[in-house]
Amino acid sequence: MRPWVDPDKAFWLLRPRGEEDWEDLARDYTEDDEPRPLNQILDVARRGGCRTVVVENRYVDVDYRSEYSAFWSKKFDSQSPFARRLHFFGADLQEERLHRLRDDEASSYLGYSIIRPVPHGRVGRTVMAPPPELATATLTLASDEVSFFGTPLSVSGVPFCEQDSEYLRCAHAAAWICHYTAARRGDVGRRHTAEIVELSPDVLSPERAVPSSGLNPNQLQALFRALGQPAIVYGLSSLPKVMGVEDPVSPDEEGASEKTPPGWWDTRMTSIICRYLNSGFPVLIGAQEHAFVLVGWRRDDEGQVQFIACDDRVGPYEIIYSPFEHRLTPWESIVIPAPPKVYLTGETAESRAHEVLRSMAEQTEQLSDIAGGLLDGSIVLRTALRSCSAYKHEIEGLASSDQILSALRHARLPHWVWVVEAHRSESCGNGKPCVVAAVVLDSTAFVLRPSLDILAMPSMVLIYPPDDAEVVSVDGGADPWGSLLKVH
Amino acid sequence: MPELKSKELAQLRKKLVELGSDLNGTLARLDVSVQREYRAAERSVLEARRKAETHEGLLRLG
Repeated sequence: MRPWVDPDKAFWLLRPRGEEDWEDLARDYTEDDEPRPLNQILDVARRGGCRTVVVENRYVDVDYRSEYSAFWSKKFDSQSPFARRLHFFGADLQEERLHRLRDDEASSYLGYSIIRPVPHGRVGRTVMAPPPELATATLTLASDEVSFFGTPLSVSGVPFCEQDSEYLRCAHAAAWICHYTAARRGDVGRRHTAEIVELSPDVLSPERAVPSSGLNPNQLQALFRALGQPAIVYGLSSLPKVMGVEDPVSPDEEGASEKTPPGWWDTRMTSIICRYLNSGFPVLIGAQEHAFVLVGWRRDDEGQVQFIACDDRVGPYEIIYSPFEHRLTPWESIVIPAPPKVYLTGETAESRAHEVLRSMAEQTEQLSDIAGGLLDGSIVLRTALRSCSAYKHEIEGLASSDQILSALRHARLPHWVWVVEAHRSESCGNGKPCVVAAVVLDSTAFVLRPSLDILAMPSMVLIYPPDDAEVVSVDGGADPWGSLLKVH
Repeated sequence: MPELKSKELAQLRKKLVELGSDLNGTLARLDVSVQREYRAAERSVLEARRKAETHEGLLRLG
Protein backbone atom coordinates (compact mmCIF):
# COMPACT_ATOMS: atom_id res chain seq x y z
CA MET A 1 0.00 0.00 0.00
CA ARG A 2 1.39 3.38 -0.94
CA PRO A 3 1.70 6.05 1.76
CA TRP A 4 -1.37 8.01 0.77
CA VAL A 5 -3.71 7.81 3.74
CA ASP A 6 -2.86 9.63 6.98
CA PRO A 7 -4.12 7.21 9.65
CA ASP A 8 -4.51 9.93 12.31
CA LYS A 9 -6.58 12.57 10.56
CA ALA A 10 -10.09 12.93 9.13
CA PHE A 11 -9.15 16.17 7.39
CA TRP A 12 -6.73 19.05 7.24
CA LEU A 13 -7.51 22.64 6.51
CA LEU A 14 -5.67 25.11 4.26
CA ARG A 15 -6.06 28.85 3.92
CA PRO A 16 -4.40 29.75 0.61
CA ARG A 17 -3.93 33.50 0.31
CA GLY A 18 -1.37 34.11 -2.39
CA GLU A 19 0.00 32.62 -5.61
CA GLU A 20 2.57 30.58 -3.71
CA ASP A 21 -0.02 28.91 -1.44
CA TRP A 22 -2.08 27.82 -4.45
CA GLU A 23 1.02 26.55 -6.25
CA ASP A 24 2.02 24.56 -3.16
CA LEU A 25 -1.41 22.93 -3.07
CA ALA A 26 -1.19 22.04 -6.77
CA ARG A 27 2.33 20.65 -6.29
CA ASP A 28 1.03 18.22 -3.66
CA TYR A 29 -0.72 16.35 -6.46
CA THR A 30 1.20 17.09 -9.64
CA GLU A 31 4.67 15.96 -10.65
CA ASP A 32 5.84 18.96 -12.64
CA ASP A 33 4.98 22.58 -13.36
CA GLU A 34 3.01 21.80 -16.52
CA PRO A 35 -0.52 23.22 -16.36
CA ARG A 36 -2.87 20.37 -15.40
CA PRO A 37 -6.64 20.15 -14.88
CA LEU A 38 -6.02 20.48 -11.14
CA ASN A 39 -4.40 23.89 -11.70
CA GLN A 40 -7.49 24.96 -13.62
CA ILE A 41 -9.76 23.74 -10.79
CA LEU A 42 -7.73 25.65 -8.22
CA ASP A 43 -7.89 28.72 -10.44
CA VAL A 44 -11.69 28.41 -10.67
CA ALA A 45 -11.85 28.16 -6.86
CA ARG A 46 -9.56 31.14 -6.46
CA ARG A 47 -11.55 33.30 -8.88
CA GLY A 48 -14.71 32.30 -7.01
CA GLY A 49 -13.25 33.84 -3.85
CA CYS A 50 -12.04 30.68 -2.09
CA ARG A 51 -10.50 31.33 1.35
CA THR A 52 -10.58 27.83 2.83
CA VAL A 53 -9.75 24.42 1.37
CA VAL A 54 -10.64 21.37 3.46
CA VAL A 55 -8.89 18.16 2.42
CA GLU A 56 -11.05 15.18 3.36
CA ASN A 57 -8.68 12.28 4.04
CA ARG A 58 -9.33 8.60 3.25
CA TYR A 59 -12.41 9.42 1.18
CA VAL A 60 -14.22 6.40 -0.30
CA ASP A 61 -15.28 7.69 -3.69
CA VAL A 62 -17.79 5.46 -5.48
CA ASP A 63 -16.30 6.24 -8.90
CA TYR A 64 -12.65 5.78 -8.00
CA ARG A 65 -13.47 2.68 -5.94
CA SER A 66 -15.21 1.21 -8.99
CA GLU A 67 -12.09 1.94 -11.09
CA TYR A 68 -9.90 0.45 -8.36
CA SER A 69 -11.96 -2.76 -8.22
CA ALA A 70 -12.12 -3.15 -11.99
CA PHE A 71 -8.55 -2.20 -12.85
CA TRP A 72 -6.03 -0.82 -10.33
CA SER A 73 -6.45 -3.65 -7.80
CA LYS A 74 -5.43 -6.12 -10.51
CA LYS A 75 -2.02 -4.57 -11.08
CA PHE A 76 1.10 -6.03 -9.45
CA ASP A 77 2.12 -2.56 -8.28
CA SER A 78 -1.27 -1.55 -6.97
CA GLN A 79 -2.62 1.84 -5.84
CA SER A 80 -4.42 2.85 -2.68
CA PRO A 81 -8.18 2.19 -2.78
CA PHE A 82 -8.82 5.56 -1.10
CA ALA A 83 -9.20 9.00 -2.59
CA ARG A 84 -9.11 12.48 -1.12
CA ARG A 85 -11.79 15.11 -1.52
CA LEU A 86 -10.96 18.80 -1.66
CA HIS A 87 -13.78 21.10 -0.50
CA PHE A 88 -13.61 24.79 -1.40
CA PHE A 89 -15.29 27.55 0.66
CA GLY A 90 -15.52 31.28 0.27
CA ALA A 91 -15.72 31.72 4.05
CA ASP A 92 -12.88 31.51 6.57
CA LEU A 93 -13.68 28.23 8.32
CA GLN A 94 -12.37 27.29 11.76
CA GLU A 95 -11.13 23.74 12.36
CA GLU A 96 -13.04 23.37 15.60
CA ARG A 97 -16.33 24.25 13.88
CA LEU A 98 -16.14 22.00 10.81
CA HIS A 99 -18.60 19.51 12.30
CA ARG A 100 -21.23 22.25 12.74
CA LEU A 101 -21.05 24.88 9.98
CA ARG A 102 -23.09 28.07 10.25
CA ASP A 103 -25.55 28.76 7.41
CA ASP A 104 -23.37 31.54 5.97
CA GLU A 105 -20.37 29.19 5.96
CA ALA A 106 -22.37 26.42 4.29
CA SER A 107 -23.74 28.78 1.68
CA SER A 108 -20.20 29.90 0.78
CA TYR A 109 -19.50 26.38 -0.56
CA LEU A 110 -17.84 26.59 -3.99
CA GLY A 111 -17.66 22.88 -4.82
CA TYR A 112 -15.46 19.84 -4.52
CA SER A 113 -12.83 17.89 -6.42
CA ILE A 114 -11.83 14.30 -5.79
CA ILE A 115 -8.15 13.44 -6.04
CA ARG A 116 -7.27 9.93 -7.16
CA PRO A 117 -4.06 8.24 -5.93
CA VAL A 118 -2.99 7.32 -9.48
CA PRO A 119 0.03 8.52 -11.45
CA HIS A 120 -1.84 10.14 -14.35
CA GLY A 121 -5.26 11.69 -14.15
CA ARG A 122 -5.33 12.84 -10.56
CA VAL A 123 -8.68 14.60 -10.85
CA GLY A 124 -11.77 12.48 -10.33
CA ARG A 125 -15.39 13.59 -9.99
CA THR A 126 -15.47 17.35 -9.62
CA VAL A 127 -18.27 19.86 -9.46
CA MET A 128 -17.21 23.50 -9.04
CA ALA A 129 -19.44 26.56 -9.16
CA PRO A 130 -18.67 28.54 -12.33
CA PRO A 131 -16.29 31.48 -11.89
CA PRO A 132 -17.93 34.94 -11.63
CA GLU A 133 -16.95 35.96 -15.16
CA LEU A 134 -19.29 33.27 -16.54
CA ALA A 135 -22.33 34.63 -14.69
CA THR A 136 -23.89 35.80 -17.94
CA ALA A 137 -23.14 32.62 -19.94
CA THR A 138 -25.58 29.85 -20.77
CA LEU A 139 -24.23 26.77 -18.96
CA THR A 140 -25.45 23.18 -18.73
CA LEU A 141 -25.44 23.28 -14.94
CA ALA A 142 -26.41 20.46 -12.63
CA SER A 143 -26.81 20.74 -8.90
CA ASP A 144 -24.99 18.32 -6.67
CA GLU A 145 -25.22 17.56 -2.99
CA VAL A 146 -22.52 16.39 -0.63
CA SER A 147 -22.34 15.51 3.04
CA PHE A 148 -19.57 17.55 4.62
CA PHE A 149 -18.91 15.65 7.85
CA GLY A 150 -22.68 15.46 8.30
CA THR A 151 -23.60 18.94 7.11
CA PRO A 152 -25.50 18.82 3.80
CA LEU A 153 -24.00 21.17 1.22
CA SER A 154 -25.01 21.87 -2.34
CA VAL A 155 -23.27 23.26 -5.40
CA SER A 156 -24.48 24.10 -8.87
CA GLY A 157 -21.85 23.56 -11.52
CA VAL A 158 -20.69 21.57 -14.52
CA PRO A 159 -19.30 18.09 -13.75
CA PHE A 160 -15.71 17.34 -14.70
CA CYS A 161 -13.30 14.41 -14.47
CA GLU A 162 -9.91 13.59 -15.98
CA GLN A 163 -8.83 10.51 -17.91
CA ASP A 164 -6.14 8.33 -16.29
CA SER A 165 -4.67 7.29 -19.70
CA GLU A 166 -4.97 3.55 -18.96
CA TYR A 167 -8.44 2.60 -17.82
CA LEU A 168 -10.40 5.78 -18.51
CA ARG A 169 -9.67 7.65 -21.72
CA CYS A 170 -10.89 11.04 -22.91
CA ALA A 171 -13.99 9.54 -24.52
CA HIS A 172 -14.95 7.89 -21.22
CA ALA A 173 -14.36 11.11 -19.30
CA ALA A 174 -16.39 13.09 -21.84
CA ALA A 175 -19.23 10.54 -21.79
CA TRP A 176 -19.20 10.61 -17.98
CA ILE A 177 -19.57 14.42 -17.96
CA CYS A 178 -22.68 14.12 -20.18
CA HIS A 179 -23.98 11.23 -18.09
CA TYR A 180 -23.46 12.78 -14.66
CA THR A 181 -25.22 15.98 -15.77
CA ALA A 182 -28.26 13.92 -16.84
CA ALA A 183 -28.12 11.78 -13.69
CA ARG A 184 -28.06 14.79 -11.36
CA ARG A 185 -31.13 16.14 -13.14
CA GLY A 186 -32.98 12.87 -12.67
CA ASP A 187 -33.15 12.10 -16.41
CA VAL A 188 -31.20 8.81 -16.01
CA GLY A 189 -30.02 6.62 -13.14
CA ARG A 190 -26.50 7.14 -11.79
CA ARG A 191 -23.72 4.90 -13.18
CA HIS A 192 -20.21 4.93 -11.81
CA THR A 193 -17.14 5.29 -14.03
CA ALA A 194 -16.30 1.57 -14.19
CA GLU A 195 -19.82 0.94 -15.52
CA ILE A 196 -19.15 3.54 -18.23
CA VAL A 197 -16.13 1.44 -19.30
CA GLU A 198 -18.08 -1.81 -18.96
CA LEU A 199 -20.93 -0.48 -21.12
CA SER A 200 -18.54 0.53 -23.95
CA PRO A 201 -18.80 -2.45 -26.32
CA ASP A 202 -15.40 -3.80 -27.38
CA VAL A 203 -16.98 -5.80 -30.21
CA LEU A 204 -17.22 -2.58 -32.23
CA SER A 205 -13.45 -2.16 -32.22
CA PRO A 206 -10.47 -4.39 -33.04
CA GLU A 207 -8.70 -3.03 -29.92
CA ARG A 208 -8.77 -4.62 -26.48
CA ALA A 209 -11.05 -2.79 -24.02
CA VAL A 210 -8.43 -2.58 -21.24
CA PRO A 211 -5.97 -0.92 -21.20
CA SER A 212 -8.05 1.39 -23.33
CA SER A 213 -6.86 3.19 -26.42
CA GLY A 214 -10.04 5.22 -26.67
CA LEU A 215 -13.47 4.81 -28.22
CA ASN A 216 -14.67 5.32 -31.77
CA PRO A 217 -17.98 7.11 -32.39
CA ASN A 218 -19.85 3.82 -32.88
CA GLN A 219 -18.70 2.67 -29.45
CA LEU A 220 -19.66 6.05 -28.01
CA GLN A 221 -23.12 5.81 -29.53
CA ALA A 222 -23.57 2.29 -28.12
CA LEU A 223 -22.43 3.59 -24.74
CA PHE A 224 -24.87 6.49 -24.79
CA ARG A 225 -27.71 4.16 -25.77
CA ALA A 226 -26.87 1.94 -22.80
CA LEU A 227 -26.82 4.99 -20.55
CA GLY A 228 -30.31 6.00 -21.72
CA GLN A 229 -29.03 8.98 -23.71
CA PRO A 230 -28.94 7.94 -27.39
CA ALA A 231 -26.92 10.58 -29.21
CA ILE A 232 -27.64 12.74 -32.23
CA VAL A 233 -24.40 12.59 -34.23
CA TYR A 234 -23.27 15.01 -36.93
CA GLY A 235 -20.02 14.88 -38.89
CA LEU A 236 -18.63 18.29 -39.81
CA SER A 237 -18.30 17.07 -43.40
CA SER A 238 -22.09 16.93 -43.78
CA LEU A 239 -23.90 19.35 -41.50
CA PRO A 240 -27.61 19.75 -42.18
CA LYS A 241 -29.28 22.71 -43.82
CA VAL A 242 -31.63 24.65 -41.59
CA MET A 243 -34.08 27.18 -43.01
CA GLY A 244 -33.05 30.72 -42.14
CA VAL A 245 -29.46 29.71 -41.32
CA GLU A 246 -26.92 30.74 -43.91
CA ASP A 247 -25.15 27.90 -45.72
CA PRO A 248 -21.46 28.85 -45.78
CA VAL A 249 -19.42 28.36 -48.91
CA SER A 250 -16.23 26.33 -48.88
CA PRO A 251 -13.13 28.52 -49.34
CA ASP A 252 -11.78 26.03 -51.90
CA GLU A 253 -11.78 26.81 -55.58
CA GLU A 254 -13.86 24.54 -57.75
CA GLY A 255 -11.96 21.37 -58.59
CA ALA A 256 -9.33 21.92 -55.89
CA SER A 257 -7.50 18.66 -55.29
CA GLU A 258 -7.29 19.12 -51.52
CA LYS A 259 -10.34 20.27 -49.62
CA THR A 260 -10.22 22.49 -46.57
CA PRO A 261 -11.87 20.55 -43.74
CA PRO A 262 -15.28 22.06 -42.82
CA GLY A 263 -14.09 22.41 -39.23
CA TRP A 264 -12.18 25.48 -40.48
CA TRP A 265 -15.13 27.26 -42.07
CA ASP A 266 -18.59 25.69 -41.60
CA THR A 267 -20.34 28.27 -39.41
CA ARG A 268 -23.48 26.10 -39.12
CA MET A 269 -21.82 24.15 -36.34
CA THR A 270 -22.26 27.14 -34.03
CA SER A 271 -26.05 27.26 -34.30
CA ILE A 272 -26.32 23.45 -34.06
CA ILE A 273 -24.25 23.34 -30.88
CA CYS A 274 -26.10 26.30 -29.33
CA ARG A 275 -29.52 24.67 -29.85
CA TYR A 276 -28.50 21.83 -27.55
CA LEU A 277 -26.60 23.96 -25.04
CA ASN A 278 -29.72 26.16 -24.86
CA SER A 279 -31.56 22.96 -24.01
CA GLY A 280 -29.22 22.24 -21.11
CA PHE A 281 -27.45 19.30 -22.79
CA PRO A 282 -23.64 19.13 -22.93
CA VAL A 283 -22.29 18.59 -26.47
CA LEU A 284 -19.37 16.22 -27.05
CA ILE A 285 -16.88 17.29 -29.72
CA GLY A 286 -14.56 14.89 -31.54
CA ALA A 287 -11.41 16.62 -32.85
CA GLN A 288 -7.92 15.43 -33.71
CA GLU A 289 -8.54 12.04 -32.06
CA HIS A 290 -9.59 13.73 -28.83
CA ALA A 291 -13.01 14.13 -27.20
CA PHE A 292 -14.05 17.05 -25.03
CA VAL A 293 -17.35 18.53 -23.97
CA LEU A 294 -18.91 21.92 -24.61
CA VAL A 295 -20.91 22.96 -21.56
CA GLY A 296 -21.94 26.50 -22.37
CA TRP A 297 -21.75 29.54 -24.57
CA ARG A 298 -21.82 33.32 -24.39
CA ARG A 299 -21.34 36.32 -26.66
CA ASP A 300 -18.34 38.62 -26.59
CA ASP A 301 -18.64 42.42 -26.80
CA GLU A 302 -18.97 42.20 -30.57
CA GLY A 303 -21.70 39.58 -30.44
CA GLN A 304 -19.45 36.69 -31.50
CA VAL A 305 -20.17 33.28 -29.94
CA GLN A 306 -17.64 31.85 -27.49
CA PHE A 307 -17.94 28.34 -26.10
CA ILE A 308 -17.24 27.09 -22.58
CA ALA A 309 -15.64 23.63 -22.47
CA CYS A 310 -14.77 20.86 -20.06
CA ASP A 311 -11.74 19.22 -21.64
CA ASP A 312 -10.15 16.49 -19.55
CA ARG A 313 -6.69 17.70 -20.63
CA VAL A 314 -7.43 21.27 -19.54
CA GLY A 315 -10.01 21.33 -16.74
CA PRO A 316 -13.48 22.78 -16.26
CA TYR A 317 -14.72 26.08 -17.71
CA GLU A 318 -12.16 26.56 -20.47
CA ILE A 319 -13.19 29.46 -22.70
CA ILE A 320 -12.97 28.73 -26.43
CA TYR A 321 -12.92 32.10 -28.17
CA SER A 322 -13.74 30.64 -31.57
CA PRO A 323 -14.21 27.07 -32.84
CA PHE A 324 -12.14 28.13 -35.86
CA GLU A 325 -9.16 29.23 -33.76
CA HIS A 326 -9.03 26.47 -31.16
CA ARG A 327 -5.93 24.37 -30.57
CA LEU A 328 -7.89 21.33 -31.86
CA THR A 329 -9.37 23.00 -34.96
CA PRO A 330 -10.63 21.50 -37.23
CA TRP A 331 -13.35 19.88 -35.16
CA GLU A 332 -14.68 16.73 -36.81
CA SER A 333 -17.83 15.51 -35.11
CA ILE A 334 -20.63 16.71 -32.87
CA VAL A 335 -22.23 14.15 -30.55
CA ILE A 336 -25.28 15.18 -28.56
CA PRO A 337 -26.57 12.70 -25.96
CA ALA A 338 -30.29 13.36 -25.65
CA PRO A 339 -33.37 11.85 -23.99
CA PRO A 340 -34.59 8.76 -25.91
CA LYS A 341 -38.00 10.23 -26.68
CA VAL A 342 -36.62 13.24 -28.52
CA TYR A 343 -37.24 11.85 -32.01
CA LEU A 344 -37.26 15.25 -33.68
CA THR A 345 -33.94 17.08 -33.95
CA GLY A 346 -33.61 20.75 -33.10
CA GLU A 347 -32.65 21.33 -36.72
CA THR A 348 -35.89 19.90 -38.14
CA ALA A 349 -37.94 21.67 -35.46
CA GLU A 350 -36.39 25.02 -36.40
CA SER A 351 -36.93 24.50 -40.13
CA ARG A 352 -40.54 23.55 -39.53
CA ALA A 353 -41.08 26.63 -37.36
CA HIS A 354 -39.52 28.80 -40.07
CA GLU A 355 -41.89 27.34 -42.65
CA VAL A 356 -44.96 27.84 -40.45
CA LEU A 357 -44.08 31.38 -39.39
CA ARG A 358 -43.32 32.47 -42.94
CA SER A 359 -46.52 30.90 -44.14
CA MET A 360 -48.61 32.69 -41.50
CA ALA A 361 -46.82 36.03 -41.87
CA GLU A 362 -46.84 36.09 -45.67
CA GLN A 363 -50.58 35.57 -45.73
CA THR A 364 -51.30 38.27 -43.13
CA GLU A 365 -50.90 41.85 -44.30
CA GLN A 366 -50.15 43.28 -40.83
CA LEU A 367 -47.32 40.76 -40.33
CA SER A 368 -45.43 41.45 -43.54
CA ASP A 369 -42.48 42.78 -41.49
CA ILE A 370 -42.12 39.35 -39.86
CA ALA A 371 -42.19 37.63 -43.25
CA GLY A 372 -39.59 40.10 -44.55
CA GLY A 373 -37.47 39.79 -41.40
CA LEU A 374 -37.31 36.01 -41.71
CA LEU A 375 -36.07 36.44 -45.26
CA ASP A 376 -33.55 39.24 -44.74
CA GLY A 377 -32.18 37.88 -41.45
CA SER A 378 -33.37 40.73 -39.20
CA ILE A 379 -35.59 38.14 -37.50
CA VAL A 380 -33.73 34.99 -36.45
CA LEU A 381 -34.97 31.77 -34.90
CA ARG A 382 -33.60 30.46 -31.59
CA THR A 383 -34.41 26.92 -30.52
CA ALA A 384 -34.27 24.96 -27.28
CA LEU A 385 -35.70 21.76 -25.88
CA ARG A 386 -37.65 22.05 -22.66
CA SER A 387 -39.46 19.55 -20.51
CA CYS A 388 -43.15 20.36 -20.48
CA SER A 389 -43.00 21.22 -16.78
CA ALA A 390 -39.95 23.49 -17.20
CA TYR A 391 -41.63 25.27 -20.11
CA LYS A 392 -44.82 25.84 -18.15
CA HIS A 393 -42.78 27.11 -15.21
CA GLU A 394 -40.60 29.46 -17.25
CA ILE A 395 -43.41 31.15 -19.19
CA GLU A 396 -44.90 32.67 -16.06
CA GLY A 397 -43.02 35.93 -16.46
CA LEU A 398 -43.39 36.01 -20.24
CA ALA A 399 -47.12 35.53 -20.92
CA SER A 400 -48.80 38.85 -21.72
CA SER A 401 -51.95 38.07 -19.71
CA ASP A 402 -53.24 35.73 -17.06
CA GLN A 403 -55.65 34.30 -19.63
CA ILE A 404 -52.75 33.27 -21.88
CA LEU A 405 -50.77 31.86 -18.96
CA SER A 406 -53.81 29.80 -17.93
CA ALA A 407 -54.31 28.45 -21.45
CA LEU A 408 -50.61 27.56 -21.86
CA ARG A 409 -50.34 25.93 -18.47
CA HIS A 410 -53.47 23.85 -19.08
CA ALA A 411 -52.27 22.78 -22.55
CA ARG A 412 -51.72 19.04 -22.86
CA LEU A 413 -48.12 18.71 -23.97
CA PRO A 414 -45.63 15.83 -24.38
CA HIS A 415 -42.85 15.39 -21.83
CA TRP A 416 -40.30 17.17 -24.08
CA VAL A 417 -41.13 20.05 -26.42
CA TRP A 418 -39.03 22.05 -28.85
CA VAL A 419 -39.54 25.77 -28.33
CA VAL A 420 -38.60 27.91 -31.33
CA GLU A 421 -38.63 31.66 -30.76
CA ALA A 422 -38.48 34.30 -33.51
CA HIS A 423 -36.20 37.09 -32.28
CA ARG A 424 -35.93 40.58 -33.66
CA SER A 425 -32.14 40.58 -33.51
CA GLU A 426 -31.69 44.35 -33.09
CA SER A 427 -33.62 44.14 -29.79
CA CYS A 428 -31.64 41.16 -28.45
CA GLY A 429 -28.50 43.13 -27.69
CA ASN A 430 -30.16 46.02 -25.87
CA GLY A 431 -32.19 44.04 -23.37
CA LYS A 432 -35.60 44.88 -24.87
CA PRO A 433 -38.27 42.18 -25.29
CA CYS A 434 -37.31 40.65 -28.63
CA VAL A 435 -39.58 37.67 -29.29
CA VAL A 436 -42.18 38.40 -31.96
CA ALA A 437 -43.50 34.87 -32.46
CA ALA A 438 -42.92 31.37 -31.11
CA VAL A 439 -43.69 27.79 -32.06
CA VAL A 440 -43.80 24.84 -29.69
CA LEU A 441 -43.42 21.41 -31.31
CA ASP A 442 -43.93 17.88 -30.10
CA SER A 443 -40.48 16.27 -29.75
CA THR A 444 -41.97 12.85 -30.58
CA ALA A 445 -43.55 14.13 -33.83
CA PHE A 446 -42.99 12.46 -37.20
CA VAL A 447 -40.09 14.10 -38.97
CA LEU A 448 -41.86 14.47 -42.32
CA ARG A 449 -44.65 16.66 -40.94
CA PRO A 450 -43.96 17.64 -37.34
CA SER A 451 -47.12 18.75 -35.61
CA LEU A 452 -47.42 21.95 -33.62
CA ASP A 453 -48.52 22.17 -30.02
CA ILE A 454 -48.56 25.96 -29.68
CA LEU A 455 -48.25 28.87 -32.07
CA ALA A 456 -47.79 32.32 -30.55
CA MET A 457 -48.10 35.29 -32.91
CA PRO A 458 -48.55 39.00 -32.23
CA SER A 459 -52.06 39.44 -30.74
CA MET A 460 -52.91 35.75 -30.59
CA VAL A 461 -51.90 32.38 -29.14
CA LEU A 462 -53.19 29.18 -30.74
CA ILE A 463 -53.03 25.87 -28.91
CA TYR A 464 -53.35 22.59 -30.80
CA PRO A 465 -54.62 19.93 -28.39
CA PRO A 466 -54.12 16.20 -29.03
CA ASP A 467 -56.89 13.76 -29.96
CA ASP A 468 -58.26 15.97 -32.77
CA ALA A 469 -59.78 18.40 -30.29
CA GLU A 470 -60.69 21.91 -31.44
CA VAL A 471 -57.90 24.47 -31.76
CA VAL A 472 -57.91 26.83 -28.76
CA SER A 473 -57.32 30.51 -29.51
CA VAL A 474 -56.58 33.14 -26.90
CA ASP A 475 -56.26 36.87 -27.54
CA GLY A 476 -53.00 38.45 -26.46
CA GLY A 477 -51.02 41.66 -26.81
CA ALA A 478 -49.32 42.67 -30.04
CA ASP A 479 -46.02 43.68 -28.42
CA PRO A 480 -42.85 41.49 -28.38
CA TRP A 481 -42.17 39.49 -25.25
CA GLY A 482 -39.07 38.20 -23.45
CA SER A 483 -37.08 35.09 -24.31
CA LEU A 484 -36.82 31.83 -22.40
CA LEU A 485 -33.10 31.87 -23.20
CA LYS A 486 -30.43 33.47 -21.04
CA VAL A 487 -28.16 34.26 -23.98
CA HIS A 488 -29.51 34.72 -27.50
CA MET B 1 -44.76 45.88 -35.94
CA PRO B 2 -46.50 49.29 -36.18
CA GLU B 3 -49.00 50.04 -33.41
CA LEU B 4 -52.41 48.63 -34.30
CA LYS B 5 -55.79 50.26 -33.71
CA SER B 6 -58.42 48.08 -32.07
CA LYS B 7 -60.21 47.47 -35.39
CA GLU B 8 -56.96 46.38 -37.06
CA LEU B 9 -56.15 44.19 -34.08
CA ALA B 10 -59.52 42.47 -34.35
CA GLN B 11 -58.91 41.88 -38.06
CA LEU B 12 -55.45 40.50 -37.38
CA ARG B 13 -56.78 38.09 -34.75
CA LYS B 14 -59.55 36.93 -37.07
CA LYS B 15 -57.05 36.29 -39.84
CA LEU B 16 -54.65 34.41 -37.57
CA VAL B 17 -57.43 32.17 -36.24
CA GLU B 18 -58.49 31.46 -39.81
CA LEU B 19 -54.96 30.60 -40.95
CA GLY B 20 -53.94 28.81 -37.77
CA SER B 21 -57.06 26.64 -37.62
CA ASP B 22 -56.23 25.17 -40.99
CA LEU B 23 -52.45 25.00 -40.79
CA ASN B 24 -52.11 22.40 -43.53
CA GLY B 25 -54.12 24.56 -45.92
CA THR B 26 -52.08 27.61 -44.91
CA LEU B 27 -48.83 25.78 -45.58
CA ALA B 28 -50.14 24.46 -48.88
CA ARG B 29 -50.81 28.03 -50.07
CA LEU B 30 -47.24 29.01 -49.33
CA ASP B 31 -44.86 29.66 -52.16
CA VAL B 32 -43.79 26.30 -53.61
CA SER B 33 -40.13 27.28 -53.33
CA VAL B 34 -40.48 27.60 -49.54
CA GLN B 35 -42.07 24.17 -49.32
CA ARG B 36 -39.17 22.82 -51.37
CA GLU B 37 -36.73 24.57 -49.05
CA TYR B 38 -38.30 22.85 -46.04
CA ARG B 39 -38.19 19.45 -47.75
CA ALA B 40 -34.53 20.00 -48.66
CA ALA B 41 -33.69 21.00 -45.08
CA GLU B 42 -35.52 18.01 -43.63
CA ARG B 43 -33.76 15.64 -46.08
CA SER B 44 -30.39 17.17 -45.25
CA VAL B 45 -30.87 16.41 -41.54
CA LEU B 46 -31.51 12.75 -42.35
CA GLU B 47 -28.60 12.71 -44.79
CA ALA B 48 -26.26 14.35 -42.27
CA ARG B 49 -27.07 11.74 -39.67
CA ARG B 50 -26.50 8.93 -42.18
CA LYS B 51 -23.16 10.35 -43.32
CA ALA B 52 -21.95 10.68 -39.74
CA GLU B 53 -21.54 6.91 -39.84
CA THR B 54 -18.96 7.04 -42.60
CA HIS B 55 -15.92 9.34 -42.50
CA GLU B 56 -15.98 10.67 -38.95
CA GLY B 57 -17.25 7.31 -37.72
CA LEU B 58 -13.80 5.77 -38.24
CA LEU B 59 -11.96 8.09 -35.88
CA ARG B 60 -10.85 6.93 -32.46
CA LEU B 61 -11.23 9.35 -29.58
CA GLY B 62 -8.86 8.81 -26.75
